[in-house]
Amino acid sequence: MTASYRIIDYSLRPAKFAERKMLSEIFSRLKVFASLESYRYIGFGSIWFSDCILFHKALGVEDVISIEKEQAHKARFEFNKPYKGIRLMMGSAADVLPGLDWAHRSIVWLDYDDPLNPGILDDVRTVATRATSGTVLAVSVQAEGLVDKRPHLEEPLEITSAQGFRDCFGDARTPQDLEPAGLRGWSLSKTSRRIIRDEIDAGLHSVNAGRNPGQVLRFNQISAFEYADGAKMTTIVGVFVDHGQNGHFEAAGFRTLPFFRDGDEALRVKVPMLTPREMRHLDRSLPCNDSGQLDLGPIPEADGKHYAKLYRYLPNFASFEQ
Amino acid sequence: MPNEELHIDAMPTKAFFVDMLVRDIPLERAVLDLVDNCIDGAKRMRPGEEPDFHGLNVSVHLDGDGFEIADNCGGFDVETARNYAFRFGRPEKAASTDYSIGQFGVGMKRALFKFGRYFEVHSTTTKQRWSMHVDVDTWERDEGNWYFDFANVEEGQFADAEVGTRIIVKRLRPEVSRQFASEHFKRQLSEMIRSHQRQFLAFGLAIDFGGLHLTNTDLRIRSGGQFNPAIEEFAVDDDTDAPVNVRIVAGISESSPTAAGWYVICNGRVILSADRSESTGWNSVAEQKDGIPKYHNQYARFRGAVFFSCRDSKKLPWNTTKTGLDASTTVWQLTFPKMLDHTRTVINFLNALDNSIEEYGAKASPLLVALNKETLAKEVEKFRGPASFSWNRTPQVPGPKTIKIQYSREETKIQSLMTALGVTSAKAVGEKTFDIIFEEQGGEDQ
Repeated sequence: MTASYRIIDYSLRPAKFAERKMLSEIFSRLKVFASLESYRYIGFGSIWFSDCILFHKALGVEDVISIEKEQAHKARFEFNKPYKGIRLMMGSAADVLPGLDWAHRSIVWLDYDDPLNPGILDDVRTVATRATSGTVLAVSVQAEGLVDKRPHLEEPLEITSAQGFRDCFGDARTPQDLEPAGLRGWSLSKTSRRIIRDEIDAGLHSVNAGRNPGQVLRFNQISAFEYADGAKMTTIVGVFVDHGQNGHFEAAGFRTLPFFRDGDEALRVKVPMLTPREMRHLDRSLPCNDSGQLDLGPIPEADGKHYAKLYRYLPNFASFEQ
Repeated sequence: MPNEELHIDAMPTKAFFVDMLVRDIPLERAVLDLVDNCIDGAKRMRPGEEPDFHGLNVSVHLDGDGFEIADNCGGFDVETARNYAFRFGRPEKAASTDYSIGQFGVGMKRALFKFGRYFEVHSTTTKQRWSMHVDVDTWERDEGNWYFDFANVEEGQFADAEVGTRIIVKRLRPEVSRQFASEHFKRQLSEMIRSHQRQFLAFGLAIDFGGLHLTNTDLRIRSGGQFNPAIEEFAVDDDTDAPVNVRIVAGISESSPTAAGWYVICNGRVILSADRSESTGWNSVAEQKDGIPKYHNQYARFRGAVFFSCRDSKKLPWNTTKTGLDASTTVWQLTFPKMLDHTRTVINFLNALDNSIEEYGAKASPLLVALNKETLAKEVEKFRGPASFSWNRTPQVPGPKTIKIQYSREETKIQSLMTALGVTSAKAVGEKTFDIIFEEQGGEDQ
């Protein structure tokens, strides 16, 4: 399989860009738990290191770990590493994650290019069973379609039924009410998030049994995104909070974020197709809490509204202007 | 109503009590309990999480006529004998040994009653020497008297060479006598002592079994070059004065179907060895549950060890007899999911190794060659963490990386291509046709 960084230039994916900015805004509110500088960021920086750069610059996080499994191109990753402070750890997430020091509060973004598979859920569980209160976990997966790639199969098998899912993921990870409809289109994105969320809860459940009531951890979902720059992608993000620190969570003000989502629904990030001139026109009536007040001019209403919702997080298109 | 009429006599007869006490314990276990008592003595003499036991020894001798165990591990004084050691059940205020492995006040008596109808205990500390002899038949007949009597008690200054405890049992029960006389039983028992007490042997304790010096079993993990085992360390209850320290080491060793699996060690005592059952995550009912497949000999290189240590032995994940795992304990529940992660990581590597061996053959597999060349076996106790599992992902391959292609076509068609291409095997047809189409599509230049 060709590594995804050889196909996609991450910096040119506008919805992903917006998602990264929104995640950054979420992470910036973690300061109620501890100073952001004391947090550690763990991600998959690829050769672009966009996430590592943003969170270092915007949040001041100094301890940055980028996990990279493409051992053969190690030199290229080292070459592209923008800051000395970024630690490149070669290996799969499954190898690297369990060996990290989890007593440290961390911002963890498991940003996969692949659709959900049992290995991803294992990684999620690794984090859920080790995280301390104040650690935040974001998981992104592709949501075009699930594929069973178990080694004994002659070729990968598309998963289109509950039985197919069960065969690949096992009984314990298969939702009771899984329907074929939940495995296609945008519904798969919802299903994927729900299964990730269940995995986190199952991991927490197994370790909470051994904790004092005050130390019992919950995973408080903060947001969920879905978008399609090319392939459909989805992300779920939340923070581990122990009973004693629930007040911190409430004080952080996550609930007031326009993209706060703690249920099954996600914010669909749709980058509006607008010209730079149109965007500048809209900017003049922003911010605007009541979208009826937006001075649209000739701009289609749906696009204008999308823009008003996302403008703070969109990449700057000015350079494309003639 | 007079007082005695309000009481119903529930006092057990001694014979019944003794019979109940010894019924549920296997004979091997009872011997191990006595060895544990010696080791607890050693721990009192040389406290600490990783003590030096050099110079301390335990010797065990058994045959069809009797049983004897002797140690030089400090002995116990009259006070302890009188108030604690021979009481049934451990009194609340009994002093406990830090990091102890002995059981809660039943081990020694139970073993003695289990073996035979007569026993002697002799113990010498630096200040006291005492002994006792018990004829169980006589003691049982004297209902109502639950005392044992000292044969003699001496105060004084005793030399280090004299300090220790010696226990002798005679008039063995017939079934015990038969077992103790059996060479097979003795071999099994010596192996059990060796594997259960391996860490104390590693600390320097000498255990002599029927004249044979026991050595610690080999639990080694390979490391070196780019290969490293996963090491995870954490503490439970670390805000108390008796935290449980946990260290997990998981990696690879020689391919050995009998030694592969998880080892669980509580305060130095091995309570599970080479475990590949559901207790340690293997062999799950649902094939994919938790991502760990059923154990298969392909995983015969897997070795994992979990060390638990705590000065308060009640907090450790063992059952009340300290002989097996209690999976319902807090500490185990916090540790188990972490073990699963490490198992999965090592299994992923072993699958890659298996593929490499299948692809290139055992002699030429770049991964196996790198593993053998770069690594050395090291005792599992020596690893300190934390560290991620790692392995050489880019071992030197003879020439560029290759991938095997496998497919089937009608036999007659393959034969006609064999003729056309002038080759003599189906494999050669495949290779030749690949080369032809590759050149046709532009060869190396594409």
